Amino acid sequence: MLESAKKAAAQTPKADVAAQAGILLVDDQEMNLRALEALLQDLGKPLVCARSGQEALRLLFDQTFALILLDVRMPDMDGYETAEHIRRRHKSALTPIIFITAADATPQEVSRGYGVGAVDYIFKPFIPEVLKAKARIFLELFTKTQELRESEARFRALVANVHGALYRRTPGGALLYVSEAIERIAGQPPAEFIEHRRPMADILHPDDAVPLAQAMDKALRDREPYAIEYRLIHRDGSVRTVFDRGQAAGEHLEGVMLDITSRKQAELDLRRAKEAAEASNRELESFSYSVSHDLRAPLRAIEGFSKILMEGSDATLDDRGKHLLTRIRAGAQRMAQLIDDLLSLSRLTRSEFKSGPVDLTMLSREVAADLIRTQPNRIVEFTFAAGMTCTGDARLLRIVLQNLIGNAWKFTSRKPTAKIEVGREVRDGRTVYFVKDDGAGFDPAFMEKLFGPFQRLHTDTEFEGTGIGLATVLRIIRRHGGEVWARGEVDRGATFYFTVSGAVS
Amino acid sequence: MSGREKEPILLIEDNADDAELIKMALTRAGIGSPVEWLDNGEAALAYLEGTGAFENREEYPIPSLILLDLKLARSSGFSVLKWQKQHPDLKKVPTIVLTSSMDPADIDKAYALGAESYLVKPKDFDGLVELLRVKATYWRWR
Repeated sequence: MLESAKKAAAQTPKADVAAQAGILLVDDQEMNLRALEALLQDLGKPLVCARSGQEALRLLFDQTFALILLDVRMPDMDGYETAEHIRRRHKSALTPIIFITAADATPQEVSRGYGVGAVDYIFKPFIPEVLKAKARIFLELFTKTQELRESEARFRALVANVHGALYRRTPGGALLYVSEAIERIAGQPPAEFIEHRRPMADILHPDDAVPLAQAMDKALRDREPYAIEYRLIHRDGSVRTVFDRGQAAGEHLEGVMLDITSRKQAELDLRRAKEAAEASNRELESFSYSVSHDLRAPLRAIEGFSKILMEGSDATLDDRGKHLLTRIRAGAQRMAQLIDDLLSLSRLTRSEFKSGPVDLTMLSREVAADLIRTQPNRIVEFTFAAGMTCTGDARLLRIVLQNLIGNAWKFTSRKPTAKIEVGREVRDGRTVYFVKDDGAGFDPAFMEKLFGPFQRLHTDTEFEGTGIGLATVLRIIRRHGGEVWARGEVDRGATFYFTVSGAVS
Repeated sequence: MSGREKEPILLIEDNADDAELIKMALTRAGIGSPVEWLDNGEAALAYLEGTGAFENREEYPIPSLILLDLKLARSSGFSVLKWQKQHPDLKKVPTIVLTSSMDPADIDKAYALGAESYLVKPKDFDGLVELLRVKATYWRWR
């Protein structure tokens, strides 16, 4: 029993110290040890015996005990001396010691015992119930103390892990308590503020002193929580922004300061980047707008003068001259078309976004009808899904359909008969609209060029165009918070898909 | 030829090509009045006021119509328009703004200052002829 108890105590894992810590019995008389063991075994705690002070100290090296019962009179090292050693050791400094002594102990001896750290005395011959009751009380006390210490340690760890510095302060700005995190924020340990009484004003940005003081006053007066941002000066001289949230607690203030410097900086960087992007966007738009206008002037001259020359030219120009003049005029007209397209693309991003219900089915029918009027002899079979409605800018979405259906119309123009379908399907829970044709298609390898301005996959002799249509579509769909993509193969038709999230730009 | 025919059309236009084309288009539109072309705002103000080189009203009479470009060197088309429409003797002369700007802000401002009409320069010569035939004729004989 004795050996097994010893073993059990030795194997006790640290986490269960409070529950498993046993009782150390120290007596030079084997008989006394047996008697104590017999008496205390039904307390359910491991019992460990030591036959001398030295052995007790040895055991205390690597074991924690909840209680020590210590015989005063022992050879070599007596109880008092053993107790002194026990107290001196950090690990056992707080372990309760009950002295067991003869009934004839003098008051001087008893007070010496208390002097070296005894918590109680048991006089021999002891009354079993008294001994058991005392042992139980001290065991319980040990358990509670241990629990308290663990809970305190957990709390400390928690506080240390909190990203912000917890604090209690006076209205005047003296910190009564502040957690370790303050060192990360201000570069000074808590002791600097608590023990050395450095006031908060010392590390506060001077411009923020007044607003902070006002917030504290208000919190104390109205008994309401506060949340305020202010700047602290780190020991290295850098400025830190903190978000401080707390409330009045009695006549003090309690709260937590969070270091939001990096978040602030990120916000600032983001805002600056956004402003820069917007400015360059505006610049680009106004540039392309004025370029478009300035480019028109010389074209008007080419167009106008060549026209006049053409009309009065019968006598002065031969057929070859007329042919060249026609080529010049065609070039000028084409350039005028490019400028027009560029201008409308630029206007598109400048125009206001007007959101409302849009009937895509109806718009598609109208767009198709316009196309049919331009070439009434073509045989094209149109199909429209019914009830395609969404939320967006009707004027802009009409332009999308004009371009997509217009492309389908254009790229099927070499076929005797063609099919164009405007439809809708649901993919991954969102509505996807599509315009599908069975025309010339495109090489999927050039997919990424499709939506760039002035990018063309076909030559002018194949199909006319300026290459601005799909760039326009992309811009409009993006303003709608949607996406646009395409699928196609050479000579096997093309399908253009788009989504409209209904969100405003 | 009526008296009106002799009164010139004042063309204020800084682009020589455009000025030439407008003159040709006016002829082609059957508007036979002489055209006084000035290529900057300052000269336009001097002509209208009858000062400096334009002192002689016999030689430089008050026009029957002003065709005004907005983008001008030295004093903009707007300031010419504003000055003219506040002048007691000159404000009755109809002014057609003929420009390449389609900016709604320009259009609003031109009408607010008292322009009789606002025309965007057509892309082709035939369009210009047609536009001037209708608009210039209307405003001179209204």
